Amino acid sequence: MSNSNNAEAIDLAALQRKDKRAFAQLVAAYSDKIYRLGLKMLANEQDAEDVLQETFLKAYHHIETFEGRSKVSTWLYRIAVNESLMLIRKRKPTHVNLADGIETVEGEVIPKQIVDWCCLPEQELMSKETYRIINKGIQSLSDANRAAFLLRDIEGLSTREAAEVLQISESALKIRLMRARLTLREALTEYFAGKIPGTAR
Amino acid sequence: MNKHLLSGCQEIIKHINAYIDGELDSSQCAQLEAHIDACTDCQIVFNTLKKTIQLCQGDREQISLPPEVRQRLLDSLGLGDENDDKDAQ
Repeated sequence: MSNSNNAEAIDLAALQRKDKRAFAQLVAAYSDKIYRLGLKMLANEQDAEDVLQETFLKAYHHIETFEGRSKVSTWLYRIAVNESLMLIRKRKPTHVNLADGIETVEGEVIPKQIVDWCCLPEQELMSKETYRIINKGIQSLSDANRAAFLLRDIEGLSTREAAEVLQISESALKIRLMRARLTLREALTEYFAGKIPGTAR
Repeated sequence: MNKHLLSGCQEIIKHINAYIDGELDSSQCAQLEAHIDACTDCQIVFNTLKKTIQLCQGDREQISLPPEVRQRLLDSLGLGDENDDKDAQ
């Protein structure tokens, strides 16, 4: 499921020599993904650009400290997630820290609405309004659940890779992912239910 | 009216994610599939959850890095113009 093969062809030794070609290759392979992650974490284009810039600048300046125990992509994503969280904390100082785990205040997410909306026409399912609901739903997630969801379902990292990025166990990652997915399903169900006769509340 | 899931199905929901991710062994898969076949509510949760993930992934394709943002990144890294980058691919 990983889509990070491009960068794994990148020569770490070349990166550590600050080889410009190797860095250009890293940028080519990951700038889109890091920008998208920043945009989905922060819902703001300028913040997403800041995350992108800081991630690659930090990678450039600290590549010699990277020991190669994980993929370069995992390391890059970790920097990007940390940069995103730092910006979020600047905005909202009381925000829940990513290190706060599943044991904290977040409760179980239980499906509340059982409405089969899969039968709706594709154009209805994939409308602009649907994407607006999705993005609103993503922003409503806790930082921890949002990061897990973006890495796993949007960036396509494996469970192990996403857990490595967030420095949590795979089981903690799975719980965050489940909560995120169920929350988004609930938001879409709420929206689509209004479009199916007999399900509107 | 919207229906609500029976409490007995909540354990199944926990496994639906692992099922979607292909992380259950064959006997767990068989158990879950048997439940889903017999339980319309869990079937709906399963189908809508899968569709939710698909729709979110569809949204992903709509985001691309604006060329000027990319250029500013390359400039800040001292990587010159985009041709250098294309050569490197």
